[in-house]
Amino acid sequence: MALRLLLLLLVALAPALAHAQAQAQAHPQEGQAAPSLEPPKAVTETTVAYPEHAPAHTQPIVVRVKLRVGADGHVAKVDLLSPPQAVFDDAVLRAAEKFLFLPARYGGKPVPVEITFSHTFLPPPPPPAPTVDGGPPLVSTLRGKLVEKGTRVPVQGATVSVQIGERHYDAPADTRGRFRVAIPSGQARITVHAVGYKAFLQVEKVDEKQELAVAYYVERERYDPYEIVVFGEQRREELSRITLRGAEIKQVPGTFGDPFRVVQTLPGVSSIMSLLPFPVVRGASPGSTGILIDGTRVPMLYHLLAGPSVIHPEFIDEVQFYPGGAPVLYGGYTAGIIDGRTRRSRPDEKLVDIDLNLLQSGALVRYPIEALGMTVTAAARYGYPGGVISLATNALSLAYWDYQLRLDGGNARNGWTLFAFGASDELDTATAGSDPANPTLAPALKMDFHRLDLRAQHGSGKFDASYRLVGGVDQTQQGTGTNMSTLVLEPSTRFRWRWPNLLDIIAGLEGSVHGFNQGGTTTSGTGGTASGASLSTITNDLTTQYMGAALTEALYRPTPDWLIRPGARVDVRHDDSATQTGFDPRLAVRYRLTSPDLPAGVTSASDDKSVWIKAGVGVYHEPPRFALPLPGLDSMPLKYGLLRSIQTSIGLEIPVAEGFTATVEGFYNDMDPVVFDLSTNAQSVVKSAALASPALSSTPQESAQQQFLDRLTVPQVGRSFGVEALIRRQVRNGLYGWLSYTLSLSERKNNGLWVPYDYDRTHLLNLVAGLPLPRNWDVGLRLTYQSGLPATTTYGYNTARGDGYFRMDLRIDKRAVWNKWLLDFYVDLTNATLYPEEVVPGSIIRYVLPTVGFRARL
Amino acid sequence: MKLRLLILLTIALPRLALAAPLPTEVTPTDVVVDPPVTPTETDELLPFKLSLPTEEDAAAWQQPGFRLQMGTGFGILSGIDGTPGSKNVPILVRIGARLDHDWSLFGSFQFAVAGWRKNGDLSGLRFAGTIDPTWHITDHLDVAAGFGFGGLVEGATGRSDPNAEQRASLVASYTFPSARTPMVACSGVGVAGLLRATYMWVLGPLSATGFAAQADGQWTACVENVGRVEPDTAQSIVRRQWWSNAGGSLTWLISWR
Repeated sequence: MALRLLLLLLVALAPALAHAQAQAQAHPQEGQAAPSLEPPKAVTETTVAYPEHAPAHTQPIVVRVKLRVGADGHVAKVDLLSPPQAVFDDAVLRAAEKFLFLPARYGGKPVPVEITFSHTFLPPPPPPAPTVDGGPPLVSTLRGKLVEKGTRVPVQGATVSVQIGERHYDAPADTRGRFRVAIPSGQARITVHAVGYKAFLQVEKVDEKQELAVAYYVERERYDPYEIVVFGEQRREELSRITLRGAEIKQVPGTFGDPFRVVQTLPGVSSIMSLLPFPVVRGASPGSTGILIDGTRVPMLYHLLAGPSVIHPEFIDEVQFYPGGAPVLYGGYTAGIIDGRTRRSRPDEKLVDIDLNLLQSGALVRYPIEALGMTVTAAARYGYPGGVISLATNALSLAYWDYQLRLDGGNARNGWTLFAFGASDELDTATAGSDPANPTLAPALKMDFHRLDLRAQHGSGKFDASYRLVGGVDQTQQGTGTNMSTLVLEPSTRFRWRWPNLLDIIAGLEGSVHGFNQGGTTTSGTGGTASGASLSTITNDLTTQYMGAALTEALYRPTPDWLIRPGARVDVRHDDSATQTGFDPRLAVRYRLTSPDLPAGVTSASDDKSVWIKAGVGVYHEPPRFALPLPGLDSMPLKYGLLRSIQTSIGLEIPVAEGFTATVEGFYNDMDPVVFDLSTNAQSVVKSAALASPALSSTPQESAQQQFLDRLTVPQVGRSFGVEALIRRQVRNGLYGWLSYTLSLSERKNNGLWVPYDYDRTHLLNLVAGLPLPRNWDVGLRLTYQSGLPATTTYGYNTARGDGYFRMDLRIDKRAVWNKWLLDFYVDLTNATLYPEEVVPGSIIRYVLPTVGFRARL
Repeated sequence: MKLRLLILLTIALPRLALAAPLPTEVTPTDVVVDPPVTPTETDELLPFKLSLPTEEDAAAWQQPGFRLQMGTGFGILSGIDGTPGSKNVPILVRIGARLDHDWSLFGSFQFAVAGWRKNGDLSGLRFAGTIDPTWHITDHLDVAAGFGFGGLVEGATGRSDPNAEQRASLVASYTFPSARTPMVACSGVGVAGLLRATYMWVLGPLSATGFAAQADGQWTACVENVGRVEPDTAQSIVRRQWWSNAGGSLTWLISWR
């Protein structure tokens, strides 16, 4: 009944609010009608004279510089980008300083921009032979096409130079890479020069009156898989959002190219153990952090809990991370938000991507269907880690698969998307009583989920709207016979009104219906743990859970230096056990303190180049969930109450140097109540018991099962506070990465006293660095240190700490270029130094994970 | 709202390229710019040609730049003063840079899978990470000396524990005075050094192959976790032993630049 009411409400409201916007919830910028950018135009000659006293050279010399063109059209700064070539560099630098431009315009206003400029110095040819006229008659023709090696796209802006005898004949290639040049007959030495491409040399024999047609593969200097053509200004609209893209999410060592694992290196994020990708964000239980795809919760993000994520990385365009202070667009979580943002395929985009490594194989195909006005992307992967594991044991086997199908129609503002995805994992163990030498394996745990996500966007004028319906099924089967499943239906809609540079108003409605089947039995019971069965005793009464939410917020900019973002959301949840309402008011404020290095004549400053002070406070509610996400075992009965946190933070953003940004933020989170907290440390210990027992902290044993469940369901009070620092370098070329440090404390009240949370780590330090190198090499380094976890001693609960751990990961990527395709090869060494990690006191692991993979892109 | 942009505009490059004739010519040049070239049907069937070589392969390998080497082969690690040893299969990853005609600097990571033929032999993983200055004596031959960390992670060794009672009764960590009675399983990190000679053949502008002969030495601080903690401090109770090993390996390498 409630579902019907909710659907009726959405259907009734949708047409009335038909002027709405695209994807406002999770990607507010996407649907925005960006002001047009007009690049600067040269009004003076931009030639560079060949330098006197230049050293002899036989190959073309390319000098690349970055010009900062001011709002007045003058060149304010020139930086050398290419490797040093002294005399030629000086010539270009001196000449470039005198260039004059019509300034670039953004939204009609002159603005300063940075552009790259290249100049090629051709080697001086031999002294010309004496001639009595203009040279031999041009009786022949050379024509042809230039195609980029590997990608087969036309080479634009190239100059084709033909040398016959001692004379040169030049012709430019058009936008399709085609050229034609009239030449005399004879032996022709042909060179092709284009910015960003290697020098090309070929020899042809051209007969008299012949029109010779040729086709050349020209190789680029570097094939960057994550080329970003334009870095636009990022408007600062969030309190504490970190957005990672490109190589930052796909080439970080130790992540296996998995975008979501990179979040483990950001400020405020610690881990249960280094290989488990469940984040402890600002001292909250992992279940309190939302891990989302385009704003929607995914029931199982990682295969086999610790494997690769269930979405092919090619779908993920960027990862947005909120350690706290998330806007009201995100509801239902009391800690951080990790939102993997997919992107629409371009109408002309074609791609075939095949990857193969030691643990899995997969393929992705993207192809436009012009007749239907849409682009199809389909991907599937199969994982076979059991093959590697079988080298060590024959009593265990693992396998998984996933699939994705995405259809994109229209455009980002007026378009639609269908996204179907799902995954399945299976763990097989030896059946009881089977021969240890040749055991019989049977499923002990199967987890799978499927989702169908339908979205439509519509935008007109100041209004944008998005409509969305997500449906799916989740299931976990245990060998014990427990079968837990959930049917999911989640409609939502968003509206956004924009008054540029003054006010944005966002409103939205969300709903969800989850139907549960907890405790059904399968016929293939073969063993397994009792924890799932015990948890199902908590959830047995859960049949259906409803949620309806309304939200609104404003982004108000009274002046360019202020952003005030108030908002609120109301969530009403109901199941058979209780009805719970959460009201979440939130406020974020930003103020531009200074705008350093502002050129004369420019009165406004970029958000990127300013010093900002920011602060926020907000209330966050969350329904009770199991501490770790499992398909079908996610929601808990509402009778246990809503979790609530009050998050406050204040911080500074400082542009410290070209490409470098520093962020410092202090936070305090009040958590009251906390339910279903992941907590495993023993409450007390005595010496004699310690000596008899293998560890003080332990996985709950059969005898402790009920105690474990009681600890999950009894409400607690918690708090966390600390300081986070991040220095990050984002550049198009060169060294990129970040250094992050967190000093924090997360506590729970125990018997009236504050004690550290079981997964509190005082110091978190991460260094991530990546360096693109010539000839399509990339090298990456990641260093991580996390201090030790609390441990119980004879002096009391969590009165000591275990050892911290250090990890060094390395990654090398190489892109090989074939005529019609590209082959990526990578080596990833996780924990290359085999530094030990104390998982719990008394239990130390030491490992290294070498991964070798290939990826072909056609 | 006034804005200040910091934008990299590669879209502006073609315009600049048109405004600025890229090649600087000093000789008579006949530039013929025809109307847009119209392809014919046969144009689509043209065979594509690659560029002729612009540099000798061997010369390219002497240019400064990034290098990656990977290899595998056969190795032996012998124990010193009672420490176990065994044969092993090393897997080598070397990352580095050619600095100039004569010198390179590499970081080497070696992971050797050590198997045992009889109970008591070293069994598990031997690893080492060293920094290796490398001197190129000829175009083919180079020698390197490296120093860094090394370690062992042993699995099932078949060794018995003559101090089993002591292990069961330990209430604090303990260090053995010598390695004459090796621990059941050693896991630990220490220091490692190597001397290496490599002979390489250039296969092309981007790849080369060859063989390396290497001598290794390693001193490992072995730790054996007894699986208990000190109840007052929650510190793990361990037994420690210092192991010394020396050996060598012969590996086949592939190198890329």
